[in-house]
Order: sequence, then structure tokens, then C-alpha cells
Amino acid sequence: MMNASERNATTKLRRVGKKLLKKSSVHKLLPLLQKLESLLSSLEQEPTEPIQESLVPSKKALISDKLLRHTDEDVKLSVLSCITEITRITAPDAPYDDEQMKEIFKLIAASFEKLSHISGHEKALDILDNVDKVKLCMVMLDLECNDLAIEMFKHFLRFIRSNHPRNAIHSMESIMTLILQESDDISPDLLRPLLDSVWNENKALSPMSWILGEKVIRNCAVKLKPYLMKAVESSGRALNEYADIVTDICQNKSESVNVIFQMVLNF
Amino acid sequence: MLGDYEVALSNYRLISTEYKIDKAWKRYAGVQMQSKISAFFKSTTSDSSSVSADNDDDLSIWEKQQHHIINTYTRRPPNPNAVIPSVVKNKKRSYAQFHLDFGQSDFLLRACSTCGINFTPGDPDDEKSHNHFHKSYTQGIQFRGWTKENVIPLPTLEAGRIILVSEIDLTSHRRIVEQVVSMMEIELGCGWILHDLFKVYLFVSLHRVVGCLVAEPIEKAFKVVSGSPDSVKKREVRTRSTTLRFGNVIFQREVEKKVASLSDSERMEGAIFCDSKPTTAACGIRAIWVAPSNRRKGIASKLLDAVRKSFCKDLELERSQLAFSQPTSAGKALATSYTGTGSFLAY
Repeated sequence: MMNASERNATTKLRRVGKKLLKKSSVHKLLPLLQKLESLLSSLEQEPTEPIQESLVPSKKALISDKLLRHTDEDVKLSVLSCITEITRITAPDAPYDDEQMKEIFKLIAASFEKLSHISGHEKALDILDNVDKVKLCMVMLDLECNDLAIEMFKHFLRFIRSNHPRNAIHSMESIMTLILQESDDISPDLLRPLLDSVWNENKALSPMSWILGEKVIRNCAVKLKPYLMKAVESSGRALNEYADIVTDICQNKSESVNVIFQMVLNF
Repeated sequence: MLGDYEVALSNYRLISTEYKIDKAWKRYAGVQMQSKISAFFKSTTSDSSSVSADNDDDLSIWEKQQHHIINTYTRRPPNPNAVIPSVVKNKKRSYAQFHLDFGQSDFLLRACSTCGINFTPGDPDDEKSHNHFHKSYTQGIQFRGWTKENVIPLPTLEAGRIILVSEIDLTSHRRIVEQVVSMMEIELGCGWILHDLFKVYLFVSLHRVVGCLVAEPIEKAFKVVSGSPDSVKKREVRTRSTTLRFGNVIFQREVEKKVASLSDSERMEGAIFCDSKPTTAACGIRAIWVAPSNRRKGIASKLLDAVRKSFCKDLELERSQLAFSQPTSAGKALATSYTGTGSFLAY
């Protein structure tokens, strides 16, 4: 049977979900969403049947036009943070249908623009952490949202800051690595933000971006090899204008890369 | 081996990502260890302080991540023919029961010994139909009542009621009558019970029709004669033999009605003989039937009482004035018991 904490969680979840469907003003929605996010973050994955049922009102409220398309930026970010918490709970099954998930991914990609703000980017960091934790971008790739992946890359590489927490930087690296590794094809448009970040001139302008781009390219060296030279040529810059890792992948280390790759596979 | 630790570290990270995606945790842990070894050796080739800081961060993140396994999303398998399927998997399955024919005697159809219907054991629809019919047969057809009922009042009736249905009644009433008669025909034979001029008496109890009597007007009947002397003699013998006296103590043996009925049945074998001279009569009992689970409760007698009371207008018939159609053995037993004599009227 249900234990006390579970019964408590279901009661609170159902109550908050019903309230969300009724409230509409900002100063009432924000505390409710904050409470809902706190409740959701305390839930484990693979929830029991009663908890799943108590989640239904919140799921409906969050996906409704009233909340998802709210004009207030803080409300939108809070709604999105709650939705990513729900995707964490329901993994590996998506909580909404394909069209709804596409809409959510658009908002997630747009939310990463908040990373550029000096303050007030805590919600975007929460969203980033959840997306990385459960590999939500797999669903995005299934839905063929390639333009959203490009948008994410641009936001990450443009807005990364030294004052971002270390785990956020790690999440950005993981997300970009995952997208590159799991993509069926890598388009030149996806590589352009990466190459821009490891351009030697950018090392002085944006050192954090340069380091992040270099790490991602290094993580995906084998995957990127067929595409990287074409991307370099189409960029209009010379090969030696980029970080050494790009030169290594394109030219000199092909044989040793293959040898080490085989050794690792035999491991 | 080749001394190129940067490329090795890059490949180890690649492999670790793939192992993590596949949830091959042992291999993932091994690759993570190799990744740390490569990072350790790589640090000697560049500035040790900054790289060391990076390694510490990586290590703490690695330790944090490996604390517990998390469910993650995965790519769908590619299906070039289909449109993008729904993300939510359909958990419901449909199962079909198959069976092997080894020559079982009751493999397909089984006859119910009580209600006589054939049904397929194990088939849900057949089982359901049989259960419904079996219940209607043994306990009576379900009957919620009518807004207009011609109830025959009987002072001696404790539970239930008797409803009279005549030929002028509504077609909806006839429908119930036809259902009950088709149930009666299972035991009494088909096609002869109902005709134009009739009065049907339904015994209703607990929302079910548990008994039915069909009466008709007649003009003459014949008195049954062949059983009279034997019946009288047998009664005397039975009376004498049920008493055993020992001084002041007298033992009285009770004779059950059922035994008497069986005795009569065996002796007469269902055939009756009547006077050749007709007797004037008014009411004929064409058929009478009680649901099997409600028998031996006086329902048939109550139905006969209702007939005597209401068949003729403003006139209550005597028991001896009822005439019975060609009776079955059980019918003969009932007629003899009800009229109190073997010389009842038959037509």
C-alpha cells in the first residue's frame, strides 16, 4: 500500500495541479509553479500508479496554451522547468505526443538564451541539467528537430561564461557530444558554430567557448572526421586557422586514430 | 603505447559515451578508468596546474554521476515505411486461446442435464448464454411487472402474486406469456399449449415467473374411473400398516406424498380410463408448469385455487369441477392430490 510520504505527495500534486488550471495572474502562478517544481524534483523515476495519476492534472495544465504560451518570461521558464522535471520522471517514455514534444523543444532551445543573462538564469540551468541527465535530446533527434539542435549549439557556444557552474558547462558538453554522436547525418550548419568557436581568433575573444568547442570536437573526433574537412573548406578559412585538434582530425593522425580505435574496441 | 595520450583520451571519452548510452556499466567503468589514466599521463605534456584542476572537476562530476543509474531516453529504431510512430508505447496485447483436439468426448458441445441446452465449455459467450438460460429455466423468467396487472387475490398466498392474462390483453403481455410457454414446452411438448381462447395464470415471485397455468373453457369432460377401487383399497391398507401398537405405546409411520405419487405412477404407467358418459364441465386445465427449483412448494395448488376463483364470473368453482387435459404422471398425481380423489375429470 501507499506509505505516508507517497500519500502526501499525491495529495499535494493533485491540489497544485487543479489550482494551476484555475489561476492566471503572474503573482499567483509563480509561487504555484515553484511549489510544483519542488514537488516534482522530489519524485523518483518509474513512479507508482497513484503518483502517475496525481501527475495528470499538472501535465494537462502545463501543456495548455494558457501556461505554455504565457506572456511573462518568468512564468514560461518555470513552466518549462516543470515540464523537463516531468520528462525526467517519465523517462524513457515521453510524457506528451510528438507535436507537443516539438513545441516543448522549441521553448527549451529558446530558454538557453537566458544563459547569457548575468542574473536570473537559474531556471535555464535547471532545464539544462534535466535535459542532459535523461538524454532528452534523443527524442529531439527522433523528431528531426535539426534546426533546434543548431540553435542550441549557437546558444551554448555563444553564451557560455566562466561564472556558470562547472556542472552546467559539463551538461553543455554532454548535450552537444550526444547530438553529434547520435545524429544520423551531421549537416554543415551544425558544424559551423563549433568551427567558429575553435577559430584561433576566438581563443582570445571567448576562451570558455573555445575550450568547450575543442572538448566537443575531441569527444566526437571519429564521428566528425568524414564531415569536418568539408565544413572547414566551406567556412572560407584555412585549416591552420583552427585549433590543433581540427588539423589533427583532418590530416596527420588518421592512421593512429584508427589503430587506437581498434585497440579500444578490442578492450 | 604510441604515446599519443590526447587522442587516446579522446577515443576513451567517445567509447565511454557509447557504453553509457548502451548502459553497459562495467565497460563504462573500465573506460572511465582508462580515461583517467590517459588524462593523468597527458598532464605531463602541458601545464600541470590548470590541467590538474580540470581533472579534479571531471573526477568529481564522474563520481557524482555514477552515484545511481538514471533512466534515459534512447533513439527509436528506424522504420522507413511507417510514419513517425507515437512515442507512447501501446502496452495492451490481445491473446487468442488455442486448444488441441485429442478426441475428448465433450470437446465441442456439452448438453446440460438440467436445462437441456447445448453449449461449448470454455467459450465465454456460450458459457454466458448457457448461464442465462439455465437460470431462466430453473428459477423462472425474469419479470419486473406490468403497470396494469390483473392480480387474483388469494387470502392464503403469503409471498408472490398470481396474474391473469387473457386474450384481450396487450401484445407486450403476450410476449412474456410466449416466453414462459416456450419454457414449458421443454417438458410438456411443443405447439399445443396456446391457442386463441385461453386464460394464462402467472405465479410471480421475487421478480421471476416461477409457475404458469393455461386454462380454457370447455363444455364436457369425463370422469376417471379405473383407479378408484384400487386407490380406496390401497388407502385402507396404508392406514392400517402405518400404526404399530405395543400396549399404551403407539408408533405412527408417516407416509410421504412423493412416495405415494411414485407408487401411483408405477402402477398406472400414465394411462387413464374414463367413463364413456360425458359430464357437463366449464373449466379445463390445459397445461400447468412450475420452474424446477420452485417445485413442491404448493405453487401449482395456488394456481388452481386462483383458477377456481376467477375463471367464471361471479362464481367460484368447486375442486371437483376442474377438468384436466391428458395428464402426465406428475399431472395425474397433482390432480388426484388436489381434488382428493382419483376420480377427477379429464378432457
